[in-house]
Amino acid sequence: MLTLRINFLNSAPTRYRTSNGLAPRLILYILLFSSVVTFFATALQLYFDYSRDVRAIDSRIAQVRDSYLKSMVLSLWSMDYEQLRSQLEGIQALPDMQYLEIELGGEPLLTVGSQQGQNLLRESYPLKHHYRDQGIYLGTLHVAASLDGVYERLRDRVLLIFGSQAIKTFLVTTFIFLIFQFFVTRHLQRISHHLRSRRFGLPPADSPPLTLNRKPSPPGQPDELDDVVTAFNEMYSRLTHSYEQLSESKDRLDLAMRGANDGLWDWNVDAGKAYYSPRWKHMLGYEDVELEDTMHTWFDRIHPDDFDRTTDALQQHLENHTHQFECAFRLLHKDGSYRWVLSRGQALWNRDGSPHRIVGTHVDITAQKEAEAALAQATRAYRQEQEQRLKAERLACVGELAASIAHEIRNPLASILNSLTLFTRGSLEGDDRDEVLQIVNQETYRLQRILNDFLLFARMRQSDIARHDVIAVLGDAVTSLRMSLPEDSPVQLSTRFHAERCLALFDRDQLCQIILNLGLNAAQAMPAGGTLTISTSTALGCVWISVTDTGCGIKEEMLDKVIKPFFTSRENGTGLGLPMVVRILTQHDTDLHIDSSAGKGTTMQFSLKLA
Amino acid sequence: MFSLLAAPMALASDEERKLYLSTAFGPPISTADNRGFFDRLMQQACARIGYQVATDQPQAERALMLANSGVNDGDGPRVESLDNLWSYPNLVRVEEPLLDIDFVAFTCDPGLVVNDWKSLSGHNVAIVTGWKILERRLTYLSSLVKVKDVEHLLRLLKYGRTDVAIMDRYSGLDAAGRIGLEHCRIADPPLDSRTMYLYLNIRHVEVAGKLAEALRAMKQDGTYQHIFQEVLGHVDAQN
Repeated sequence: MLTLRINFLNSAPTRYRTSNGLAPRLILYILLFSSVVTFFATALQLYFDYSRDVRAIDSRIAQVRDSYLKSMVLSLWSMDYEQLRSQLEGIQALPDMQYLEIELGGEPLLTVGSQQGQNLLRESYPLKHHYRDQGIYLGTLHVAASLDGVYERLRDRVLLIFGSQAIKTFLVTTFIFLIFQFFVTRHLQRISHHLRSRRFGLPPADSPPLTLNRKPSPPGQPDELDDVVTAFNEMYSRLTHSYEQLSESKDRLDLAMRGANDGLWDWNVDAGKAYYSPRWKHMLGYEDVELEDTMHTWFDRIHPDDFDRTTDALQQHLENHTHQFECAFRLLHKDGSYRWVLSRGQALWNRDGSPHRIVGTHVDITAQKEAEAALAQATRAYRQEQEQRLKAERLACVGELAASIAHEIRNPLASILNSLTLFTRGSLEGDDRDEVLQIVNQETYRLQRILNDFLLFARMRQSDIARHDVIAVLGDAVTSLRMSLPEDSPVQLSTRFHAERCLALFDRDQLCQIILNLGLNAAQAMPAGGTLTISTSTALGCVWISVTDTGCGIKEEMLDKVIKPFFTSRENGTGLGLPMVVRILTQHDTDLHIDSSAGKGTTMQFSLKLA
Repeated sequence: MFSLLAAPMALASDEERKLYLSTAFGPPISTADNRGFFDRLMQQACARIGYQVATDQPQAERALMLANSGVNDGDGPRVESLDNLWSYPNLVRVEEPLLDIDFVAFTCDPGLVVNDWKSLSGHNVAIVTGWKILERRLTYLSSLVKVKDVEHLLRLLKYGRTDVAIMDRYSGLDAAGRIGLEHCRIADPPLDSRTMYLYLNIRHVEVAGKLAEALRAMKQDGTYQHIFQEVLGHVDAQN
């Protein structure tokens, strides 16, 4: 018994590195996602902050226009530059206000602040004073607000946001890492360890089911890990059952292979690998280690005369043109001789139709082939002997026929010869002369009839079997039979057909011949009169035709002889009627059945296949 | 620069022959109801040459600008020679003095002696914004406060926020009476004395000559003295 101990995982255990673990990747993805979200959220927030600050600057500039411009015009009107400067400095003290200038005629009258910097929002307002119904142009107020403060606040805000976000993300991801480790990762590690340590074929006590090291879930409320554990244990049970079945099946196959003394071969077409069982190699006289497990091991040993046929058969099957690969061929044995093997195999195909794998057996049929060769030789000898015997029988039959013919024609010839002798003597007178001439005439006619029947028998044509109406043909045959009987015949002819029409397969003329021969024989068997009945019936897919007479019948010892050529009990018979009927029926693949009782009558019956 | 195009053009009709004059002086030289010395003097002089007159009191330098640009027709009283006359090329002087004005130092400190400009050194001094003649003299001071008018100037003095307040005598005395400034004095001698003239926009160059003659005639017929006595006599008596 082959014992299998297969690891649940055949591959070597793959240890993951901590950096490849789920938790670090989870943390990485959280960090990435959080960073992206933080980036976009910060960008959005900065955008709104920037817009708000710019609006605030615009608002301050508008405030200068709305609140300061009037007093500044008054100060400028009264040439109170000190106050004007104070006002400008007050405006400059507002957030983000950098530079103010009162310009007149292209020349700066008063300036506060510096124009340095690139990020400036500039605005200009004409300063006019109404005096004596005129708008007196006093100059232009140029206001420049710097965005540097805005950008600096944005930078500070960015640093603050990113700093706070980094700390928050670090704390959250650390917490998630610990939670994930506690709730998931450690259980996955236990499941992994359990899967690696699990072996098939162990007693249940040595193979406990998978359980998790944690507090059980409330009844009826399993979580995902409970579901995984349950699914694994169920899968393991099914695998154990399948393993047992597989093991049993493999044992059975192994026993069968060893019992059948067959060699196993397995060719993985995709991988280009092959496997040969030790028995396969032993068939060729090799030990298991002496031959490589490649397809060349097989194909290089095929007899050159069998190579094309074998590879063609294999190719046909691999291309799915045949249901099974089966081919007998010769393989080179280690001792230099060739051994006949019968190879059978079954392939598996990929979805695209390409062959994936083919597995089969080799049976050593060298002895069978040798026996077949001997049998063929014996058969040839037997056939030669049989042919010689048949030839001798045929010659004997011909001789018998020749003897029969000679016998049949000897008497008429003797009568004719005697009659002619009497004529040559010239001693016949009157009525004797006429009687002798009548005898010559009768015997000559007899000879002609014998020769015609013989020719008809000897040159019988092949049946032309077609579909015809039996009843109609029988009607015609009965008419011919009625016309063939003497007008004063005491025989009463009757028919009894089972139907008005019945189609069957037969030669129309030959069926008429059969009915005529059988009918005449029957009529001649009733010289004192009687009833001749031709009837039909159907059974077993055939129409059965019977010719029955109420004559003297056939003696039992004569039944086997009546169908032989030239056997006749009548004075004028040639003995070829029934043999001809038998030969016709043989060509119709049927027989003639004779049922006869001496003194009661005879029934001749045969069948024709219904169409 | 002020637009000349915006200046009102002199009209030919008698009803519309009116001069708009400005002055940097407040009461009693010029008042809001046009009853100051300069107001009445100009009303009388202009009437003699067939003009009506209207006066107002913008800031001193603004007044020059308005007259130079033609927004107003003239400005005064001004010193005989404007140092920055080149800045006001459109002004012509009426060649007859309006009056003499002393620039004096008001102080409430009895021990403070002000003899000349130099003696103001080390003291807190206040002047009215726009008085160029004073600003140029006092550039050496480290503490110079400028305010918008004489009344404000004297309030600084009254509340001890400055040691000395410098202004013209007439305006100072008039304002001191209005705000009730007591225990203060005018340092003697005056820091400066100037003869003051009227300046007209150049388009009134012909009017300037007529106006000078009218002023001289008023001085000859006593009209000038009468007005002076009525408006400035009581101020001059406080001195």
